[in-house]
Amino acid sequence: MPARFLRFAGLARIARVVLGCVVVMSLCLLLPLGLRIHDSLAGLRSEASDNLHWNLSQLEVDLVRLDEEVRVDTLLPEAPLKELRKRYDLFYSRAQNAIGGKGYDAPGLGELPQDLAAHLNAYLARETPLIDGPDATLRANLPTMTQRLGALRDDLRKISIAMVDALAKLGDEKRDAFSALVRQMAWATGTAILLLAAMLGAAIWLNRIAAREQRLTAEVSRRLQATIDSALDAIIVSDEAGRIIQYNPSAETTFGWPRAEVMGQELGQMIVPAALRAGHAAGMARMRAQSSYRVVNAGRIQSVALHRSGREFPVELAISAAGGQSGRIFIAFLRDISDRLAAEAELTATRDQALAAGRAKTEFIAVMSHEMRTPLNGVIASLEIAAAMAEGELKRFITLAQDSAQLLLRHANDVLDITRLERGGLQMTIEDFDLNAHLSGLVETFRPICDDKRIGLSFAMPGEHPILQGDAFRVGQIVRNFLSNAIKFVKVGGITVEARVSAAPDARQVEISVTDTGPGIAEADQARIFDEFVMLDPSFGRTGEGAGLGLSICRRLARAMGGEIGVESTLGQGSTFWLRLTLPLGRKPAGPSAPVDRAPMPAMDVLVVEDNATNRAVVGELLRRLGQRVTFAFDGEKGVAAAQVRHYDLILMDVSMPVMDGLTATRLIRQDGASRTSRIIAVTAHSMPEDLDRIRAAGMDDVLSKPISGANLIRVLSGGLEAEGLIDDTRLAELRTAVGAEGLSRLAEKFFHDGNGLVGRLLAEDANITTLCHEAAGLASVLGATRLRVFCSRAEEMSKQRPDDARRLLRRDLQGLWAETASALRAQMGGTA
Amino acid sequence: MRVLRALFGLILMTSAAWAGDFAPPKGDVLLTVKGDIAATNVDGTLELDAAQLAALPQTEFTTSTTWTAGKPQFKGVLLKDLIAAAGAKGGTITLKAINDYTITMPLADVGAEAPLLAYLMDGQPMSLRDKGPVWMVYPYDSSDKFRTEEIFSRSIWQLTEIDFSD
Repeated sequence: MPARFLRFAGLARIARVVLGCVVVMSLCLLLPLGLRIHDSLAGLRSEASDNLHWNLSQLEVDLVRLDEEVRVDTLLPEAPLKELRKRYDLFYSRAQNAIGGKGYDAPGLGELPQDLAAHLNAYLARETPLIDGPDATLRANLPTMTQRLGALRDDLRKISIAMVDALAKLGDEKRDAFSALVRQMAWATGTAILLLAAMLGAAIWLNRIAAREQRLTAEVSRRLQATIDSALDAIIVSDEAGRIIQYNPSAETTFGWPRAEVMGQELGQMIVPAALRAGHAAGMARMRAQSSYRVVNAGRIQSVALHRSGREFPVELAISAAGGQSGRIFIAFLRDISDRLAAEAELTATRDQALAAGRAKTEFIAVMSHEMRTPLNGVIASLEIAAAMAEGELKRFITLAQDSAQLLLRHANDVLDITRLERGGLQMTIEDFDLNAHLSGLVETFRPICDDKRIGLSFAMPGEHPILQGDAFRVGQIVRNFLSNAIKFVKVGGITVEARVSAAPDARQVEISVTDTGPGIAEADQARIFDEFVMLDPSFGRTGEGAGLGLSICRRLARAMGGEIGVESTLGQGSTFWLRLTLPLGRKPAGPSAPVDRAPMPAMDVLVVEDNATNRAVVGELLRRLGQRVTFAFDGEKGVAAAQVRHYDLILMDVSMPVMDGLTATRLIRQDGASRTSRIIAVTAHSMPEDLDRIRAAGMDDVLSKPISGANLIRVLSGGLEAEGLIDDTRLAELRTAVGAEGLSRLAEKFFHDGNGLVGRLLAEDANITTLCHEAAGLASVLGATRLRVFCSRAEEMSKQRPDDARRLLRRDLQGLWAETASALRAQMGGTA
Repeated sequence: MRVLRALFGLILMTSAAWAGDFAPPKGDVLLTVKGDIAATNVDGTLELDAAQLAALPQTEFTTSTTWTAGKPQFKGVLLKDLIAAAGAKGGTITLKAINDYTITMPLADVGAEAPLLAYLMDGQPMSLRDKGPVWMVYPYDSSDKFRTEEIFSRSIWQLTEIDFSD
């Protein structure tokens, strides 16, 4: 549109210039012509010469009349000569005109007037003395006068004719010149008229263009007005002073003010709540002063607006500025977002409810799996005892039963894993393991089922067979899942499991792949299969093998270990599932760790507080087999009573019991009695994080998860780190007595500060860990951070013989332990402040 | 026109003073006035000799003419003064020369400064040979309006008779 206006303006300018030129040209052309015509006309009007023809004819007439009188007087001798003299005088007078008058003196006549004058003078000079003389003389000369008159008449006639001819010629020339002038004038006038007509045409044309542009502009502005009027958003336009200059129907609805009442009013007074008016005015002033915009052109902004009724409501607004002829204008688009905000709030509430419901479901599933694990605990423990006692064929069956029990336990654990993964509560068990041995053993367990289905199964691990550090069970869980799936799909052909390691700094890249000759997976489904509850073949649901959770759990597990899983598949040719992980190198030789290799446990007095007879029997048997002296209590109350009277080195306390639960019992034991300082270990199937907190808060030192196995028991008996309390309350209490609460808090601050520094230095690549560990152990002992102290002392001892192991230990556990200690200490300080 | 009418009003008023004051001419008759006139002296006409003309208001001017060499001085009676003196009325004036040249002009064309009925040129009476005895002249040099064909044709010489009949 501006281009059109520019073009039009250009045309109009050119037209003006051309018009000016034409007018000037016309004037230049017409003015001199007009002046010449005026001069010619003036010449014609003030014709200085008398009519020559008239004069000549009058001269001749007078001559003829004189001649006539002369002839009459010649014939009548008695006639008086008065008339003759009068006629002579008249002729004389006429002749004088010709001799001296200008009437005979026209340009172009040449010598003719002089010639005429000469003839007349000559004649008058001869005759006048006769006329003026006596009558007798005059009468005597009459006959010769007649002769001379005749001669004069002939001469005059000749000269007259010559003059008339010359005059005619002159007249023709004059007329020609004048008519040429008039013709020129006519041409010039015609040209000027044509040019003016052309200019008139151009003016009309430009006028039409202007009218069209005007119509167009009017139409555009009408359309714009219609757009503004029909906009769903309120649109308010204000001038630079903030006065409303445009206000659309939506604005009427939004703000309640009719258009007529707000036009020209100050915007801030009408729609800005009183509390925001000062800010609004400051903003307007700022914009006027320095043209800096904070809200203008800043996109969508949420604010509060004022309704006519005084109600304030949330709005979303966008303001833009435009330069106008009379200063800048501001265009505000406003939308009442009360409904939207209400909807958002409702949506949020709904989502929160849904999340709460989801959490409740997760709780339910967690509880259910625990409940399943409790009876399994009995089965597995019993089988372990039976396996130790049995021999031969019986031992083989018991082993089979153990495997099945383990499998069942893992299914329950799968479900538990999901709930834990969802809450981020999955704990990895990091240990050294031989990947080759682990995988080959795992693969072998699938051989019978493959043989049954008559499909091949092979395992290969070319290259290096390193000892790695990681959660072997979780790695195996993923590979097992891949294998189970492959076996389900392969009808003909086989399954190949392959593991490769490649070097990485201080670690190894591990890729384990399971390749099958199954039907393959369509590309579209390849990403989907790792989502929860996705089963490509519905028939699997009926096999009862899983709930579509397998691959989803695998992916979560892989990610939890810092790895990734994926699939490559071609439809009709088979699939390859892979797991990629980076695991640090381990040291220990692979193989079943353990209890077998251990030195016998020192004999301790152990109190087992357990209401379930089976569990009592199992735990009792396991402890006895470890050479421990075991005493039983059947519920919490009895346990407290027993602990009062005698010191036990270790108390295994079931958490859920009738009459008195483990937590209450522990609190009572800690209050008084012989076993006040004994290590108390909670035995529970509740292994959710908040349970652990509750257990520790009750004064228990560690937790033993059901099902109880020999290995777990050994760990507890040997005073695993977990056996050590995080913070020694007694030590803290003593300190508080000694230095006061304020002094203690100062000590604690120093502890946090120094501790942070030490942890950083310990984890540095070139740290002297022996010295630093010693220092850290000393720092920990000041505030009774028992577990940290024990950990540091152990690392110090280890560093003297096996510095690399010590480093690895520190890297793995130090930061977590420090964080735990610090937060526990803070909780203690906060709780007592 | 209004000025002219006012002028005529004046003329009519003054003519009453002149009318009837003309005696018959004693010398040669230079000019005969006839027609609708108030003042007469001979047979219903007004005949004027040189002395009578000289008794009327005199006007003189110098001008060149188409018919003479040099710039003669003309002296005589303005036609309007004669009209006033004779108490003449009518729409048209007919003027006649000795050689029977005749012109007619509307009374309205008689101006305040012209034409002049000159009977002296350069102080001398004009003979027939000098276009006398009376020559009606205009001050041709004073204005363009006196140099038109019409004015030239009205410059009647050897004038003998003025007739106010129409």
